[in-house]
Amino acid sequence: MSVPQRQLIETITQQCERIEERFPKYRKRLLESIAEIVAVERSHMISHTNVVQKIADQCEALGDLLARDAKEK
Amino acid sequence: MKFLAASISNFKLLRNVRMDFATDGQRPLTIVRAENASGKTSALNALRWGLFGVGGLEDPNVRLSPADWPDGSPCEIRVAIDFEHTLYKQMGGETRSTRDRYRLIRTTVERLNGDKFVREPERLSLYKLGRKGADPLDTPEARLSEMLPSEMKDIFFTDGDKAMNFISSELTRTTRRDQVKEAIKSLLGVGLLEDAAKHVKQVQSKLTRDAGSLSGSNESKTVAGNLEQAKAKLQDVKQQRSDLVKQIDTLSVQLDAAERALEAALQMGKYEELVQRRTAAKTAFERAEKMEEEFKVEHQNLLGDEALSWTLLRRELARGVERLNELQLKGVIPRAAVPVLRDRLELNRCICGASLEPGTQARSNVEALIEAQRAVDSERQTLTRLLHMAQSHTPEESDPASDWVTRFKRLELKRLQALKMREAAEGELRYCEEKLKEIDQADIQSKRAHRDALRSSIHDKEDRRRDLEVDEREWTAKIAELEQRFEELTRTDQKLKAVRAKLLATKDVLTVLEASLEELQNVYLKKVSDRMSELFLEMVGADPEQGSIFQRASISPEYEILVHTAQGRTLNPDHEVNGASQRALTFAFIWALTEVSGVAAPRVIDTPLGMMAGAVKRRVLEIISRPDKGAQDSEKQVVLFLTRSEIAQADDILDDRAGKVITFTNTDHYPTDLVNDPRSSTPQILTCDCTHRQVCGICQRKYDAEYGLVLRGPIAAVTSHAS
Repeated sequence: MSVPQRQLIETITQQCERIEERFPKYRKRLLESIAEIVAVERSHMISHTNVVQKIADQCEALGDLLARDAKEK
Repeated sequence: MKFLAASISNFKLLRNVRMDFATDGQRPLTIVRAENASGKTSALNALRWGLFGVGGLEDPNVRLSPADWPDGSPCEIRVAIDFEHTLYKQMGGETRSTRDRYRLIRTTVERLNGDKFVREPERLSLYKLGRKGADPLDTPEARLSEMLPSEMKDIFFTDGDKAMNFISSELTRTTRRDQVKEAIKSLLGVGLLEDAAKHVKQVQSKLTRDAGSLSGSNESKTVAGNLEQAKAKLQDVKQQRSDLVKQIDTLSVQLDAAERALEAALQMGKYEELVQRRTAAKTAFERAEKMEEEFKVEHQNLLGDEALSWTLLRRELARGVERLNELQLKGVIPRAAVPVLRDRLELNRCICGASLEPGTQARSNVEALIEAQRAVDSERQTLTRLLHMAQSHTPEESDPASDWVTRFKRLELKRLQALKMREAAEGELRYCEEKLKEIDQADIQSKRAHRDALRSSIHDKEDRRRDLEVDEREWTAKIAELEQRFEELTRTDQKLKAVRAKLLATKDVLTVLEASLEELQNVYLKKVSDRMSELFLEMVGADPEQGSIFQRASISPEYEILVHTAQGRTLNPDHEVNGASQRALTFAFIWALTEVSGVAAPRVIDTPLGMMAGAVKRRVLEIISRPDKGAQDSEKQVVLFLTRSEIAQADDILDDRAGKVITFTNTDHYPTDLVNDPRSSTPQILTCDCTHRQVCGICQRKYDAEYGLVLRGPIAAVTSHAS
């Protein structure tokens, strides 16, 4: 893994830590969603995909978790 | 990634060329020795095309096949590269690496039709080379992209001349900054993050619209709609401002050129200065003329002055007066002066005071005397008159200062001075008028008008830019207001709870992406800047602690490459740094990028040492070929395309560091530059195994004696066939 890739992951992880923990392990889920989004973008660079929809799916899934947590509270 | 070998077919003049690369980390240099127009740039482009396809070329629309390929006949262009790649994986907390060998083969077919051509879609194959042979791999583009992202192509495959664009004043400031920014972004692969942020914003917009349409509240719908419009408007304003900045930059470059052109036109005759000189000369001329005229009149008056007569006749007149006095003494001339006597009679009083009233004896005596005088003959009367005149009119001996001769001489001097002044002024006037005639007034006016128009245009655009900045701030504030309002409206709307959660999650994703982007760019900007400075100072041999002029180099937060002096001044690299240092600076920047990237890939540079000579050239070569410390099996690999003159005076470094040398020779250079006839029916690049100190029957050139090259054998090993 190149330095920039490691740095990219480290930086994203650090920035996630600055987001409010809206529910237990929210930051971890946020990081996972962003990692998926980055992977989607990488694939899109090689062969065109419906990237916006795939990213929307990730954001909405995270949002659903957030909404479920709020409902449970 | 480390190159092992490459074979190139029908890529420009590289009809059938094979290259082997140095793989020893202690001797990491591969040298391709080639003179101008001998395939260096074609080889660089062939490697780029092999790895990245047409996207790797500067101009994807340029023909790849040889120029003399017959029309209509298909030309298969093929590049095959054998390489090693090391893959690192995290396993159980450890980093483990595996190294494998691969072969990529990229092909296409072109058909020519005069100046036009048709190219078939490229085909890429990727094989993993093992003991059992070559295993084809699927998704070759994706795999290659993982090994060496295309964003890094300009960093690892560099044209030494084009690298100067990072500091060239021929480009606008915005373009130079953008290039530096793009180079840094490319090594980070942050283009990916930017795209991700852009796509997340699109998701955000869609969710906002959904919220608007789901909401039972008209106000929510309206606010959602307004919010989208405001965001679109803000984007538009930002784009307009960005376009304006580029336009202003372009116009600024044009204004610089216009001002230089105007200055040159004015300097040609120093127009303003000449006009002033002409005016002064004219005034001096008129003044001198006036003085001459005055002195002429004074001269005329001097010649008519009574004093001239006295000056010329003084001696004769003195003798005359003396004679008259003798006559008076002898009594020949009456002592009494008749007019004086008559005056006394009128006054009725003598000079002695005696009364001369009528009837007095004294009066009678005086009348008798007058009568007696009347009896004197006319000559004596004349003599008497002369005596009186001489006594009353003869001037005293004049003082030298007012002597006529002195006055005359003084005047003559003044006239001469006035004449010289007039002549000098006349000469100056003539000179100025001739020079002014040479200046093309119309050209100056035209250049001045052009400059003024550019200034005015820049001024207008600056005003517009400021207006757009205000608009941007206003729209940003408006968006913040609308978002807050939307938040308030939707918070209480139960139907929107799910959408709100999605919007919040999306906002968090966007915040992380944007903050990461900014931090990475800042972190890496500093890393590249610091490393560039170290390399630059080493390349130019500057030691700040020893008081050298160059203190450091840096990349500003605005992505401008700058050089700083010991006195704290900032130098513009394009204007204020010499050619060799400019080259070293761009080199240091690119090398810093490759080092900071941490990507293990061959660094391929075409003509890296142009404009460098002597110590700078040697230091640059020494630095870029320096083996990695302590690594016998290092990943470092450097491929340099060099001419003989670039190699000259650095041979010893290549002796030590070059693991492979190959020479390219263009058959078309016979008989102009090549000694021997290559006997090739078509122009092409031939290769031979000559080192940088050798020549052979294929590559020997007419001026090789200048470089002290040794002829190796009558029949050289040929690794390419002349057809």
